[in-house]
Amino acid sequence: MKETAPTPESTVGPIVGAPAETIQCKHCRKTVPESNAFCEHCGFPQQGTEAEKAKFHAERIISHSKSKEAPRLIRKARNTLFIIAGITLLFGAYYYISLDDLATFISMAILAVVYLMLGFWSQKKPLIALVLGLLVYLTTVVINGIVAPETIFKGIILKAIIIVFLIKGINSALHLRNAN
Amino acid sequence: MVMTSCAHCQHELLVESKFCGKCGKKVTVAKAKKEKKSLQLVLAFYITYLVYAFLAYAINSERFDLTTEIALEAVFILLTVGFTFFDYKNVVALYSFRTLNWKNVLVCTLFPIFSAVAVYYSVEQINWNIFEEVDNVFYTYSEFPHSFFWVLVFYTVIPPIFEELAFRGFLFNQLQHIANWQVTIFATALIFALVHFSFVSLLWIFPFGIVLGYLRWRFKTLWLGMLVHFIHNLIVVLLDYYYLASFLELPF
Repeated sequence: MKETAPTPESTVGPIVGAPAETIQCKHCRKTVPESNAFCEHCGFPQQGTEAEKAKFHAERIISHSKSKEAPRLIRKARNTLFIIAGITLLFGAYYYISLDDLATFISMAILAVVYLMLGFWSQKKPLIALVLGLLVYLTTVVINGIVAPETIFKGIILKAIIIVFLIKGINSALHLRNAN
Repeated sequence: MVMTSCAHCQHELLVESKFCGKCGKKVTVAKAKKEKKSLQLVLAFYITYLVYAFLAYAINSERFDLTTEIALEAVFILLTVGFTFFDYKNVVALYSFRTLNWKNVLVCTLFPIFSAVAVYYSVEQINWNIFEEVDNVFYTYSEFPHSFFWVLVFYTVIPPIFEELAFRGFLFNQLQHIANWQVTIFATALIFALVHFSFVSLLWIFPFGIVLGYLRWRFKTLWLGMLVHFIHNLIVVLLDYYYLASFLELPF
């Protein structure tokens, strides 16, 4: 029963247990019961007003462009993790070479390895890897703030950029999980 | 035809439906909302904890006495218990004795004896080699009246109860909404290691967190983790006391 107009067969009279009359969705072309307010496959408001239909299309475009942009934002967040790993290692090396501070160097090296591993892992599990990356980063900011309170506002723009990139990546990973 | 119903309006739906035919809500939207809420709770919990830790250090550098310590511990406990109210039912279910038997209780009693001794001596070596100092919890609290009692409270009573509640209870439950069990164990162990604020200690706290997370997942209870955590911390404190006492030639 693919026809949109009533067919002679369907006017024969009520048959117990027979499927309701169906129409073809104007958006996805799949068959849906005519009584439905929305298409069960794509969510198109088949009995809605023009404004509701326009809103449906607009939302689909927004969601689609979000999905298209998501891999790029996730990649940016991953690169952010790699960059922080590099900066961390450089700091550690500086402390070791010029201040002969082995303890800080070892801490920084462990931290850099954690960032690197989370970065690589974000290729398989972007959401959780980026969330953990953000938590590790926030922890380092607070530890630095405790050890040397005057550093908390130092490089605040860079800190904000790192946090924004990571959060955008997290949002994109969350969106991709629930798209489709 | 297999039927289900819309979470939003209870309209009957085919299981393969992606949207509700009556109200137009996306069928997966309930799941998406839950994931988002869990994620927000995890971040809110952790950021709250970071702010707490920052303020606690700031306050301790101004004044360090028993009253301040008790007040700070009380705030930590209130924060932890406060967050569990977002997931009250599922957290309370974790205080179940059903899965306990003599075998897992025995293993959870013996394991921390070995882990504590191994960690204690390797930590001491590392602290001595890298930081060129020996850490002893009793140095920190030696000024307090009844310092042995308060060290026991701050190290062996409060952490096993409330850290297990926070990390293996609340955080574990929330992360399970956005990850499978292996990833959840890994993530809670990493967060648990992070809050100890020492990147070198990641090396032993992280595996310890993996063990605690595994126990929580395998037996669906917090009791075993609390037991392991308690015995581990108790042995570390007792070893510290033993070395302090033999150093000061005190009777013990």
